[in-house]
Amino acid sequence: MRTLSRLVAAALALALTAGALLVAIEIVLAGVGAGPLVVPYDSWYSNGRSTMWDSAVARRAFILVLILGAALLLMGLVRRRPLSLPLSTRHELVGTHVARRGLERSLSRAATSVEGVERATVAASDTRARVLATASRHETGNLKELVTAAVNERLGGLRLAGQPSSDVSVKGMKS
Amino acid sequence: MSGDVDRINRYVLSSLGFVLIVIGGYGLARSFGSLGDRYSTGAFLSTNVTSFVARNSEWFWVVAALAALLVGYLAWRWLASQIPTPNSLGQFELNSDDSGGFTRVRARAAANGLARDIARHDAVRAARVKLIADARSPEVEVKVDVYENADFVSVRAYVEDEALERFQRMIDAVDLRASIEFNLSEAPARSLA
Repeated sequence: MRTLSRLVAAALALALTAGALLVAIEIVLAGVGAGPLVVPYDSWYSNGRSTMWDSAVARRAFILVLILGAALLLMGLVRRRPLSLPLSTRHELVGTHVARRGLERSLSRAATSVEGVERATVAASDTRARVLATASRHETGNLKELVTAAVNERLGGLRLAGQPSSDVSVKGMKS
Repeated sequence: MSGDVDRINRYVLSSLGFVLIVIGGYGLARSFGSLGDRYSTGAFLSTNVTSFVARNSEWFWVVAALAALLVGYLAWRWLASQIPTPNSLGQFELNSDDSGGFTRVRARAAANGLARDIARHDAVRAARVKLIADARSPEVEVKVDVYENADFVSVRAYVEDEALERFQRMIDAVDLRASIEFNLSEAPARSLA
């Protein structure tokens, strides 16, 4: 999502820059009596005079604008997990962080180090580390407590600034 | 830096999205007669609009061109923020004394020295250091790969209190700003030998 929004942002910024510059140039050229350079504003004007507000083409255009706007708003508002999580500060001029992906992989290894855990996926944010572990057997027993302890031990050793809480769930292997 | 770009993108994309939703919503409401029948049956460019522009063409097009330039400038700034700028420092001068002489230090050599110093710690798998340009003094960006089974507090203490302190003394910096990112690496497998 982060990559997509960066691509969309770059494309939009480029289109807006080029479009706005073109509009300014066309206005200046029209002011000195020259015809349209790139933008066919003569035919756009004719279409604008002949197209009615309740026409199908106008409705289709407004629906498209509405969908585009909703997509951009969604892209802008969706909450993304940070690339790194801040550690507790020891020196005023030194900012320290731990990379989120490395932390997630490490917590996953901590969870799978518990005997009876087959695999674990972790999604960490600055407030919570969500762990979904899969047991190697049907019964999960006390695996949740053991995985929580392993994850908390690793999290606690880092002294993260926000000290995210762990949220562990364990599911048994399907028989 | 990339966090700043993402924050700007979120703000601009949300704002543009909101504006487009308002335009699309208004257009559809007017098109379907929600604002009154007389608004939905008229031409898209009404006589009122065209005659207003014709009456005020002396200033209207000047304002329109300036508005287009303003939008273009803002869009250009937005576009420029997407492109990462190479801010690595080439070289810097050590604080000179009263003799008038000075010493130039190649930033990459100094950065490599700090990286080697950090990597001397047993729990550090690798370290990368970059000195970046700052208006007042060099700023250090450090990335440290640490074995996850290490005593993390002692690694931090080594990097921040020892290695960085030595580096600060070496380059004679008064207020050295640093940004350190630790990446947890899988602990090496124990040898049976």
